[in-house]
Amino acid sequence: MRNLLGTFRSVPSIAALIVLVLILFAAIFGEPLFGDAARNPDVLNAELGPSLAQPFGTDQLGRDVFARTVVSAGPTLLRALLSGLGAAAVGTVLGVAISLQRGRPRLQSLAQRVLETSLAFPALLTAIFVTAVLGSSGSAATIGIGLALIPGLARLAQSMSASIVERDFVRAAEQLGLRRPKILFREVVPNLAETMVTAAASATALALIAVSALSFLQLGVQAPDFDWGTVLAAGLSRIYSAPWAALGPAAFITVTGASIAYLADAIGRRANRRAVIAATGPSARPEAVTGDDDIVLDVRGLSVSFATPMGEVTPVRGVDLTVRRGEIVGIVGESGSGKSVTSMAIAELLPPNARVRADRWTMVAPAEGEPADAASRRRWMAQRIGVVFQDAMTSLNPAMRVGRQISESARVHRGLGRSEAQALAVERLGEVRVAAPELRVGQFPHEFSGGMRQRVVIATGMINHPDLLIADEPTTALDVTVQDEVLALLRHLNRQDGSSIVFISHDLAVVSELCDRVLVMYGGTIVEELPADQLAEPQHPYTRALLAASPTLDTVQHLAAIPGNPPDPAMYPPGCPFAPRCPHVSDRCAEPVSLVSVGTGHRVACVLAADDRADSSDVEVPA
Amino acid sequence: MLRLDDVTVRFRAGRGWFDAVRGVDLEVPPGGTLGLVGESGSGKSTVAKAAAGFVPVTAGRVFLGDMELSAQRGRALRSARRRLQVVFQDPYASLNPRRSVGEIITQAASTTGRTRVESERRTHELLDRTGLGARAFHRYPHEFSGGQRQRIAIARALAADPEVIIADEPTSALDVSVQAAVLELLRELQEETGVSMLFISHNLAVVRAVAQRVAVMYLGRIVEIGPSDQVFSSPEHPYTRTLLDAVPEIGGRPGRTRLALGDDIPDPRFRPSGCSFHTRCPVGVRCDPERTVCSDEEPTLTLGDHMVACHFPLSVTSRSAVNGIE
Repeated sequence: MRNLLGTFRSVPSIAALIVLVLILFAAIFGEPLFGDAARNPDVLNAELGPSLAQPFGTDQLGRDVFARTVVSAGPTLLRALLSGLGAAAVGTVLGVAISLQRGRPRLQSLAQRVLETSLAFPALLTAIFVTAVLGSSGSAATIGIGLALIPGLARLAQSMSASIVERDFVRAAEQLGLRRPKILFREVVPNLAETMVTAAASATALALIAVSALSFLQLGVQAPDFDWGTVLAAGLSRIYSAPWAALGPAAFITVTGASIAYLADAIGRRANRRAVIAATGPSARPEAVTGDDDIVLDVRGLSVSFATPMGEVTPVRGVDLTVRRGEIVGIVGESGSGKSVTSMAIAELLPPNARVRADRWTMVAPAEGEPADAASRRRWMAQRIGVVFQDAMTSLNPAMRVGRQISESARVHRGLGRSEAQALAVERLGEVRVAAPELRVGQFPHEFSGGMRQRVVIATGMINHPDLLIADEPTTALDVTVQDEVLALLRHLNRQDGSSIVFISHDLAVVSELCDRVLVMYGGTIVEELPADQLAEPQHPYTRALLAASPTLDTVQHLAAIPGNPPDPAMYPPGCPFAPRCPHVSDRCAEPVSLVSVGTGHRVACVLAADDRADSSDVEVPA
Repeated sequence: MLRLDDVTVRFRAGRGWFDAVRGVDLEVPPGGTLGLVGESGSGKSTVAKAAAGFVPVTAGRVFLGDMELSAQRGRALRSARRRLQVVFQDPYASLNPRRSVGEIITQAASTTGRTRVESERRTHELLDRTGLGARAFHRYPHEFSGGQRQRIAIARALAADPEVIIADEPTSALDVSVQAAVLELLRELQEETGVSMLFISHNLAVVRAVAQRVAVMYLGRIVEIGPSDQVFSSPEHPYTRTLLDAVPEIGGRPGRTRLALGDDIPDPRFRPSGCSFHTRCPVGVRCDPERTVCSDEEPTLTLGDHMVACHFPLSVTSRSAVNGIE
């Protein structure tokens, strides 16, 4: 309910609501209050201009036009509601029925074609035709408009329910042996309801205009009955001498129709609203240095916050990351650990509501250094860093030849010509070991297999031979055999050009096979940093628990689950983020903990490891 | 318990047809778990769908106990389907967002002829047993994490008192730490209820953790099937071996020699002649031109407990020959 109220909190929504309440009042109380003035002719006072008592003046028979407009609000709205809601009900049933005919593909496609053909006719024309055939009357107009609205609504219901009946929960209900009608009303219809309610409200707004239009054309309500359309028609003949007799009822139709349509739209928007909020402050930027050539990237105290409707959320909190030339650094963690946000922050690919902060953030630049203006700076950055995304299918444009996609960055940022760019694409495709690259550049992504597509994405990331390649879960969607080849390819590229790689993964084993050094992330911080060959003997309780929970080919013992769930970035605990799930938790874990060195290249953020070091004993962290 | 007898599933592809599953024989042992592994496009999910009745079987028969499931129609089919429940891959798509957890599980429990009170009691038992707690009863799916949703899906499946559960990649959408808990839960519940399970996964290590028997599929055929211990430690089919070799391990496996594959998995619409695997096989005709039988003749499964469909199974091929090819 609070949600629904929230929908109507904006000024236009409140205005629309007030209009509808007033019209509803008119519909209910119009007849007792103004019935006489609207119906009784008073020929002596015919065709009067507007006055305080009769704001729209009087008609040819001396009846109060305002009273006639108010009194006819009831029948007009009733007809609009009957045809709009009736069409929505019939359309929903029809659409769902068509989508359920999966077992009879011929019947289904025939019904779909009939629907689509009827959609090609303008709705108003259909309404006029049906009304004329049935004989002009108010009921005929209601039926005609209702029929005209059905195809569009049925089409909507059909496509919506067709996608719902394919969902797994409908499968599960079928598997329980439930009857069809039960499945329909319990599983399908409730998920359709919100959309169809919105559509019904829009249809009612349309029907209101159409009802008035048909009466205006003398096809709807016949004298002595009257509605907004006939009142408008009567006034229109005198539009030059007495404009209010026409403009008054016209305003009623327009404002009411617009209000209903606006509210329908507001309800629909509520379903898929997405607030975009500006970041709360400026973001940090990397600084170019021409110094220690061995270090490609050096970030200290990297934090990333997102402005959200619920306030600021900080999924990355103080990450240090140093990448040396030719090094492969793995960042491993579960969903919500902050690993992907960290990598996207480094690539400067975060959305505008993100704010990045860092104590120090440098990238090694060639001698000429970093360009000053923003445009050339972006160009410079694009050549220093290449990015490979997880999902090759969605990161490639299906309608563009792969050659153009691979070389796009080089054309944009280095200003290469078409033939130069094409030659470069062929060269890179060859480097990622795609056979016959000069033929393959002319093909489209769908002509490549999953593994080959991921190679195309890697070639795109490598186009400028960047100093640093950021690969965000590039093998997660792939089969093991293909993953193996992609890992071998990354290793080969790293050895051949000495390009550094930051490799993001949820899989300890993949990281262990590919990387030199591994950072384990949990709750937005690095909890352990260690050489990859020591991953089998980690020190942090989280890394140990993760290792014990990972099934391997050699072990059949029971997997040790970690109790609880990974923390929500919006609600990190103040101290160690793993404390709520940790078997060794103590009071001291509520205090913030930083990384301490426990061996060569091995640092752990845990009070137990810190103890260990303070004692300078050889006692290991208890397992 | 669940038995597939020479099952073929044919799909339309453009103007032609292709067999997503071709002549598959499988048996899920009573109270045990059969793992089914293979790359994407191998047909393992189609086997699950055919067994559950989501796609029609083109040829062959599906048995549940003594009853031929694939021959049932109408009311008989509806009451038979309850005995075989499915746990789906995506816990976000498998629960109706408009119904409370209590309604979802109670509905499943009531299909066995329980009264409303009995069904709700059973629901509370299951919520307790799966670690969700009584408070979950009145809450809605969106209030739960992926791992908890998968527990709800498991509770729903068990509420119908099934004889067989088909789990189609039930943990591949979950984090590793949560996956372990869900796998353990499945294993414990299986011990308690004696339900049989067909467990489908692309992750060999996960299958290793839950299945006593494992079947390996390639392009719609079973190429190897046997006790997990034997298949994982001494695979007979070169395809099984390459799959196992490709699984990354922490620290790497000592003395590991890799058999490399040629090329990607072929398009199932254009199945290679003879043994479907010969275009990628590291021991067959691709590497030894004399072994023309690989491209000429389709191998059939051998008989016994550990069966393989290969002209040159690895235990027969001498070690030196394999190493020579590497």
